[in-house]
Amino acid sequence: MASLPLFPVTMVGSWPRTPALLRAQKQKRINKLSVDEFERLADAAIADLIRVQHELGIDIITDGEQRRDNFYSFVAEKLDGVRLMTLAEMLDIVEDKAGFEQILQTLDVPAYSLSNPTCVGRISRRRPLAVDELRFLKRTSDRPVKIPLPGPYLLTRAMFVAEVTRQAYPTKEALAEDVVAILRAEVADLIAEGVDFIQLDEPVLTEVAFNPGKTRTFMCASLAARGDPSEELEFARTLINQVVEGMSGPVFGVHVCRGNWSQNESILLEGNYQPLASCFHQLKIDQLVLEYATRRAGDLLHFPGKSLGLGVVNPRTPEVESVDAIVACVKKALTMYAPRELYLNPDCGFGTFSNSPVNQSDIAIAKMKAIVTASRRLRAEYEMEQS
Amino acid sequence: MNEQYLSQVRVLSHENAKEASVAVRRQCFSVGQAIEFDSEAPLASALEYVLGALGADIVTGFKRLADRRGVAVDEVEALITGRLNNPLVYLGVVGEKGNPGLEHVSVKVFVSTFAPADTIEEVWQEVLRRSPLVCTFRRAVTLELNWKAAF
Ligand SMILES: [Zn+2]
Repeated sequence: MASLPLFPVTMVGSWPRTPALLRAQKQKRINKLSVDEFERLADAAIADLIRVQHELGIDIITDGEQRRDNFYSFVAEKLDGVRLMTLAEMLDIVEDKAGFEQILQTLDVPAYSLSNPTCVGRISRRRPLAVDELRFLKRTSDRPVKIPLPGPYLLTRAMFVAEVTRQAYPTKEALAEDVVAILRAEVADLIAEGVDFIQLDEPVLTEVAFNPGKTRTFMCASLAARGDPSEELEFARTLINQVVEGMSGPVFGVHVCRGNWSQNESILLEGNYQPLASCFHQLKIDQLVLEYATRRAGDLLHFPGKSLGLGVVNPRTPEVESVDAIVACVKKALTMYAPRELYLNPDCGFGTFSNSPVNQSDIAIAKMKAIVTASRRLRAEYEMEQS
Repeated sequence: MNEQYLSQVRVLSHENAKEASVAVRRQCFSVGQAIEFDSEAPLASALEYVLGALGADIVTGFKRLADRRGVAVDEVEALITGRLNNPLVYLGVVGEKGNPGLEHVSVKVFVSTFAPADTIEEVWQEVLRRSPLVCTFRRAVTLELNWKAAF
């Protein structure tokens, strides 16, 4: 990647879809719109979003996950052996209906609106997961680009639904082997196509570490029964390291947040990253993309040897953070990190789930603008200091 | 009285006191006891059947009336929550006051549709006006009824 300025600004991933695109996505799902027609509409939406990012001065460009229904279930369209099942369908299959009911009530959504990529057979890549996304980004922007991918632990956990997966894989570990192989193939393709930043999304890790055996809040992502937290984290770490082993070129980030599905802060998970510290230390990646913009995130921790994608705005609130507040947050991080080690981003995406975005685009733009302004101010101050 | 105004089922006890069999037309289904506190219990309780029946009345009515008006609705889903006045009376807890009956029922309906909100609102009002169980519940409990569009 072309060398980045200090405090590069990027989004975590998703951006709210326009009503037209949302409608098109639904029509595609019920076969009332062809994939090609949908992609054309998505191209236009992404081109607009790229223009917005260029105008704002964002340094690393993403496509706002506009082609995806959410950050992980989109893989069902690209993989053999995986079927997108709505919770309405899964309610028939799984034993733990009460657990599902809890998720639905927490999220206040109907069962038909939540879908899980469920493994129903041996899995393989029918099409690449994100190579098309990358090509379009590269064609439309000359800036460095970031591709978010669902992490191997998230995918394994989401896809392994014992009742239907066991016919193909006896255990989640067996499924994980193929998940890792698929992600490695994808990463290799993305590298070959010149990707600058690959972000593996592993939001479920906080739930594993903070909330063992308690409420399941993470949409469908961690439906399958979980074991002991330390074993789960060990499992996650192993899988992530297997995916990136021997890969080089782009920046490899892992994004871990505490849930991004409600504007009600009181029902989202709370606590600093300490329970994940030893797992983080052992990840062979370049950057941790973490949320620090809310009180729930607790104290800033230092993870030596890795850069930090510092979450400086809350993607879920209508109030736009002040530039001063963002600068202050970064300065606090600078007591632990060198200027070179800090990237600035929101805590998470603005539209993680296409059908229930956590914000609207005008506010998202204002928040990104505040981050860029803060970054410019810091850049002026620290570039001078460094030269 | 006109026979069409009558509705009838036959309910039989079971050797297991927590179960009843309901014979209706050419089929039969099992219902558990009035209220179930055990989350592992194999049968839906009588209370849950009542709430389920109200929900079924509404979601089928919604689909039927939307179809009739030519309004495309992909999915309808209802979440029905009933609150009892005092379930401890059912359990026979000494000194408990009140009654074990339903006091408040809330119905939240999710509709997946591209139709405009006022069109759906018209369907909704017709559903409520023409639903046998909504009209029954209205006279018996405080009934809270809402719909919202959700994809
Ligand atoms: Zn996130």
